[in-house]
Amino acid sequence: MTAFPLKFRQTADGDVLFCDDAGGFFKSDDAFLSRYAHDQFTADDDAFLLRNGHAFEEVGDLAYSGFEYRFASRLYAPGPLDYIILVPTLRCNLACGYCQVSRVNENTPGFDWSNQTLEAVLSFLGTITAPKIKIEFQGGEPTLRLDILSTVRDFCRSRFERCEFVVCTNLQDVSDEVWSFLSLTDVYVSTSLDGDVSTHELQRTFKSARTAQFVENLDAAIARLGNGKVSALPTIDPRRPPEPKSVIEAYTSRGMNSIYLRPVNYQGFARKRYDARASSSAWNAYHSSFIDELVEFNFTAEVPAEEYYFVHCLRRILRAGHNGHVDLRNPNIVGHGYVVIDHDGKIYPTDEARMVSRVGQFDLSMGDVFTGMSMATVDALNEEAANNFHPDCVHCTYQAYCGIDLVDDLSRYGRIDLPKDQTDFCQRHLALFDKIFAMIYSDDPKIRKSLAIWAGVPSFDASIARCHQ
Amino acid sequence: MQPNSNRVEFPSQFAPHLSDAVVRFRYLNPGIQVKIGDGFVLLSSTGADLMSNDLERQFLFCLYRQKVYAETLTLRATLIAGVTGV
Amino acid sequence: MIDLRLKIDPLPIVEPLVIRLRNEPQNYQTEHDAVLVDTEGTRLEYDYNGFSFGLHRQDDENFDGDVILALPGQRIAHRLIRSKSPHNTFLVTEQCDQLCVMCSQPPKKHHADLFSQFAVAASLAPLNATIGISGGEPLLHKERLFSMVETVASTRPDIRFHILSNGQHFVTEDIARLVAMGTERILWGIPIYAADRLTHDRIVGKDGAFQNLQRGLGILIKAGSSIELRTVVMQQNKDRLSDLANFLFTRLSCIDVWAIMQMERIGYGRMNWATSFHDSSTDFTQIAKAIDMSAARGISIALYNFPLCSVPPQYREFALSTISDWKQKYLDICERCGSRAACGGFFEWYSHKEGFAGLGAL
Repeated sequence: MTAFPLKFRQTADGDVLFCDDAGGFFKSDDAFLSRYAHDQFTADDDAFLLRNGHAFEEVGDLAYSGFEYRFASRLYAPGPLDYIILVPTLRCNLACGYCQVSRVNENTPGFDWSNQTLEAVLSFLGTITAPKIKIEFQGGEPTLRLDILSTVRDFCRSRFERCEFVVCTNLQDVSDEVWSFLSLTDVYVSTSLDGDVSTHELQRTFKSARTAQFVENLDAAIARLGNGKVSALPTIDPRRPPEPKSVIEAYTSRGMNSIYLRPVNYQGFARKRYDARASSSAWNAYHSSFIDELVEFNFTAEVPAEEYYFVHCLRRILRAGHNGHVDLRNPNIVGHGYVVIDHDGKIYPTDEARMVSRVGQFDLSMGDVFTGMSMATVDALNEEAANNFHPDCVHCTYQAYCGIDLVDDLSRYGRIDLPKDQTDFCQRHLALFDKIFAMIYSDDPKIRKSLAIWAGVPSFDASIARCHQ
Repeated sequence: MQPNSNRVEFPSQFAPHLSDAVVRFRYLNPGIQVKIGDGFVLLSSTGADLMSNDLERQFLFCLYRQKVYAETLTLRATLIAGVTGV
Repeated sequence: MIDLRLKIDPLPIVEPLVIRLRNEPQNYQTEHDAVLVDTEGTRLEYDYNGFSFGLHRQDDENFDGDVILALPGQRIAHRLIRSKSPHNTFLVTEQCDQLCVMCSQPPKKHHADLFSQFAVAASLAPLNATIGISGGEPLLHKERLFSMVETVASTRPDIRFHILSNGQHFVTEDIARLVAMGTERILWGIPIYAADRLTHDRIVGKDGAFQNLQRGLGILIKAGSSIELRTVVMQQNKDRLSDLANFLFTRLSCIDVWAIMQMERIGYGRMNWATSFHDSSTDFTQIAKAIDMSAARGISIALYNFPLCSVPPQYREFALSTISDWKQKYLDICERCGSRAACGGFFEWYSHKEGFAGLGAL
């Protein structure tokens, strides 16, 4: 019998968690680890490993090919280009403290698409061969150029079988024309609701009248368009975060039960006011307490809630092929499945790449809509975009569930070759996966209930938390 | 200042993986010095707070990991070849 | 119960004959088409290439587009394809090399080769039809079966097959052929009853079956085949379902679906009912656990042949309507059930006296 390579990590309760490259896992003890390291497996160890998919008898037998399949399914391969983020203007009618997009004031000329840019963008969209397309309008405040939004939508609808349009708007000043546009069948609203209303005011609207206006618009949007078409995201300052209960209340009372907590991203404007270095441990502590609060909430709530990214990570542990989040993929090949087109027509592989380039550190652009896409920079980046054989990740229990984010590393540290545990990305994900595994191995019925809900099953079976002792 | 030091012993089958393990251990623990002996290492530091019982375990873990990595590299290569058809 | 046989005034034939019935002449007519020329009471008269024959029908059923098989000297024609039904299965052989304890189609020694006729029939099926291939064990006649699929694939690339097989007869040399046939063209329905050879072999009545099955599955997987693993849950294997769930997750994550099935009370199933039937309506725990373990880890899992009311509410979404229309019935208690449209009901030969204790209108 041959065992597949096992990665191991001590858990808080003194046990040792073992994981393999296909994402299979079990808990055992120091004695087992010692037997593993010293090539002293017992017959019982062999039988366990074989039964549980961590070993095989002959290359090519079912255990081997089963592992191969699960291993392969953990790898991300980009599909055709069918998701475009468009930034038609950098102008904005708000000045949020953490704004990461390097916005400009509402009346500043020169930061919108020109007519030539719009035409070039439409030409570019016209080259896309996928049958369906998803367009996300960002900015600034994209509704300041409703004309562009409309034109792009009309073009796409005439060109693609299925379309989806997401408008990332601050819902601050919504004219009748904008309401009409948002009410269209294939248009979705994504906005910001920074926790409870007072935190929102502190970070985004600053004046109570403006805050009230926003709240009125948000509630109107939900009433008019329905929860299915309106989503909101909270941006959290880890040093001054709102009480988890108040965030949960602000969201669930509005029928929004999927809450995606995002820490302030220090790029662009955010960099000047927020110190990112110390913030990952503060963030991890807050996030963990938020999950605890959700577990309490879900035990009795009629409609349960989730933290989107936590659930995403949980599902990545439990199953392969869960690659829906662009920041958590391995290999994280960028510039293929989706791209970003900036206010000046430049093309970027990700929104982060756009902001990194705008701040002036690196130029991660990949051409522009006038002269076409150029893949040289992106190709160079993609060559390093796998965690499988990184000297730290190769030993990490969470490697199969984790990803890699070179642009995030570049934006924070100016380089992609730091020891992983010195990066924010790694620290955040270690904390997330640690917590998820602690929950998977918990007996607490409240935790079990939330896990079942978040894993999408009627009940979270205890045998998934496999032990060998 | 008297440095604290821990002596960490290991069996001979780990010796081939020692230098890789030491390199990794050192960049993960920049304040710790590692002296290599025959079948053991001496971990020391000028800062008392850096030394802990856990360090011995952390070093052994590095050693185990390098051994597992080296010994399973062929298997991993075979897996990848099987999956990518290369 | 829908009768799949029709009374036919016998045709002067010496070979089995496949005929597609049309109510009216079509623009595109094949040599296999017969057109309705007269109706007299229950007797329908057809013109077939200048010959005429008569069919007798029970009620107002419309045979337009149906494909029948007439046999020399016999007054019965077999309805191979009912054009308005999604449930059309060709029984390609009654021979089998296993003796499953719940078998609904007990094996017979004699085999009549009708593969050429089946190929013709499949090529006359409605657009995008899925045709079931069943037995006995169809792959006892592997060469003939593969040829039939290849023949149909060349003229009717839209036709798909759902082939039930015990997976015992695949060899490495089949891989190239399976790939050439097209992996989307066939869904292989393969039974597996346990993760251990003792239990599985005992249930299928053949030593070495489990080992062979693993080998066969390995070959199907290498060919990139679409696989539906089928597990009839019975007293003999219900307590090992979670072991099987784990086995499937670790070794067979690539399957299309794992179908956990209830027994059919016919054939050996009826004979062995008392010692095999597991009343899942009163004890669903093992099945629930298998579903929980599988669904959490991304294995597609479904319940076949379970009436909805026999399944706890939180698991009902997994219960599909799978009983073929021609052998399906509902009970009196189903009269006022709000979920009847979504429910697959019961097998025609279901006996409530020996069946589920926990039923009732939803």
